[in-house]
Amino acid sequence: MEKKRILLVDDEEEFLYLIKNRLENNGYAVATAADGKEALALLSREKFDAVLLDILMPRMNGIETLKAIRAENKSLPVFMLTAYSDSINFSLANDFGASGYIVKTSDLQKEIENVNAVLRIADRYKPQER
Amino acid sequence: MKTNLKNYQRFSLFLILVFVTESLIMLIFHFVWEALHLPALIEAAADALLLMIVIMPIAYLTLYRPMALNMSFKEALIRGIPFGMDIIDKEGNILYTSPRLEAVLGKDLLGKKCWEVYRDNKTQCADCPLLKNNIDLERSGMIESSEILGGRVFQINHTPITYQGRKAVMEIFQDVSERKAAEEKARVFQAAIKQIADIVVMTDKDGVIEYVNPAFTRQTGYSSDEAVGRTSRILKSGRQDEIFYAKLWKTILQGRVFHSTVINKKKSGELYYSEKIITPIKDDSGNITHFISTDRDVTERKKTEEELARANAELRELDKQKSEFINMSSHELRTPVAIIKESLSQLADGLCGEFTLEQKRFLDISLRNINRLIRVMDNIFDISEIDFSQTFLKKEEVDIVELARRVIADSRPQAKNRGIELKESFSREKITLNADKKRLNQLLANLIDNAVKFSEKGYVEVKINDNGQTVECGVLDTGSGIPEEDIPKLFNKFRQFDKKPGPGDRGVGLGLALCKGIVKLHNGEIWAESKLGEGSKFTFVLPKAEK
Repeated sequence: MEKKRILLVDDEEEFLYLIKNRLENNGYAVATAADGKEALALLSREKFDAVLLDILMPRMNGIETLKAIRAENKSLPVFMLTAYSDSINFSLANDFGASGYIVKTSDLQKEIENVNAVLRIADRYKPQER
Repeated sequence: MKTNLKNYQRFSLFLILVFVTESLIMLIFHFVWEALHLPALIEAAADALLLMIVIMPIAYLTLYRPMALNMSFKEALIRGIPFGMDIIDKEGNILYTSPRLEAVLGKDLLGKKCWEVYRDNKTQCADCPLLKNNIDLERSGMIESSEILGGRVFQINHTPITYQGRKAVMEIFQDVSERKAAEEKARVFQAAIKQIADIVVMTDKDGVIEYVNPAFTRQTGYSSDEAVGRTSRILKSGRQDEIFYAKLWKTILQGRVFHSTVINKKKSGELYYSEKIITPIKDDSGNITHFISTDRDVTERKKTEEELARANAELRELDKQKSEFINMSSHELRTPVAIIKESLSQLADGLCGEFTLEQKRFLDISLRNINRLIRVMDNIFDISEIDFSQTFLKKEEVDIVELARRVIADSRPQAKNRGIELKESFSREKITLNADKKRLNQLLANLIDNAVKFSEKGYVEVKINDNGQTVECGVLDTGSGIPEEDIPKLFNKFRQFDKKPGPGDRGVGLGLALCKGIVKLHNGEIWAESKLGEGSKFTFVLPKAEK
């Protein structure tokens, strides 16, 4: 089976490295971007099955990037990454169409397993291609 | 024939007419007699007869008729005048009473003293014309006297008259009691308006000022002369736009009261806030004749309101800044912590090769404490989040039973480690309430973790009850209990007791404060009961529905 492709967007380089490692360990092909603009550029060129998107980034923050993604693609699973634990950002992300919310300090293996589950469900409803 | 000729004039006219007529007739007769040769006796008789015939109509027209008309006029006057009338002599004895007076007081007033009949206290009026010397009797005048005929006020006009041959005074009585009362009322009202602290301005139906009270002058600096004849445009500050004035006129022209706060300008140029009420005044037909405007200087009040608003805005800004600071600090701490945790986690999970058992142990120690650090941070930042009113809850329908079961399942490993049994004392039936799922989770986790933490042995029991409008949840433990004096302070922040050395997390004493915060945000109640040596019970009640 073809590997699922995940786009990882975060301005923390070290965090990107760690998460990429774990994602690859979970069987994903991972591309990374350091900010929203880079992410949108990659999204326009290549196909991805999911996006993990940091909220707090310079230049273009996660919410704005989310809005831009949703303008093009309403069904692509986008999970917001955040160090925050507050509910305000959670509501904000929800209002703009995020598919989920991952707190960076939680058990990331568990969180990735949640992402797996979401993607499996998304698969079932994907229109048959070609 | 005019009837307003005086009697002597009438009489003179009568004589002249008779003389002239008689002369003419005599002259004619003489020539006729001469021509007819009639005897002188017959001439005289015819002459006398003719005289009578001529005199009668002339006398009637010039004397009787005017007199008769005059008479009925006089009678009508006396009868019709709506005032009592009498005539008194110099000593005050009543010589004549008009029919109207008689009708009221009876017919036997003649001879009695004027003041004995009319005055309540039977004394002469203070300024009775009879009290002064005779000179005043020659003049007409008017006095006002109270305590007449039962406390009423009368205006008494007196006129000198010759009656039955002697000098007398004709008195005409006018009851002015009502008028006096009305005058007094008006005087009181006027004084009130003069002295009232509120500004009163009266204008005609076009807004031209007719009257301003002293308060107006005090407040605006414009004197009455400066204001009367002008419109309230003299107070215009320019702070109200044309739409405002259009609305104002529309309202009052419809006959409705206009109420608003405006900014006016004093003569000195100083601006002030004025609470203005304009009332249209209508006549009996419902037409607007005047407008009355009362104004009250509310500059002080407005100032206070504005200061309050400013202070509030400052506080909110401060709040926001504090909150942003907390958020940033939260982020700055959590990011490196997250990285450390993930790094260690991947090592421990074997993603970078295998470790020896001993090495793994060190990794585990680090990981456990990173998690501990994370929980502390969560508590601190959650508590401050709840403190700073920025928090709002994301409420949804939550099944508390399912939530509780999951929390209990999460806590089982830790409980097992300590040898504590976790009991579920509630049915599996759904109990839904409107709550923030994450906060409810935190609440249950905190209480249950606490219970497990502070029990050395025995069990921790979780009870959930559906009480109709509310849900009640209790967490019991068989720990060492809490001293009674400590119970009131239990839910305060930064309180930590029972510093028993031993394994397990200590926390910073924020857990229960957070619990209380969460419960309060949901409009619920939380309390604790405990017996030393036996255990403790923490209970919270939450409303099921949003209020």
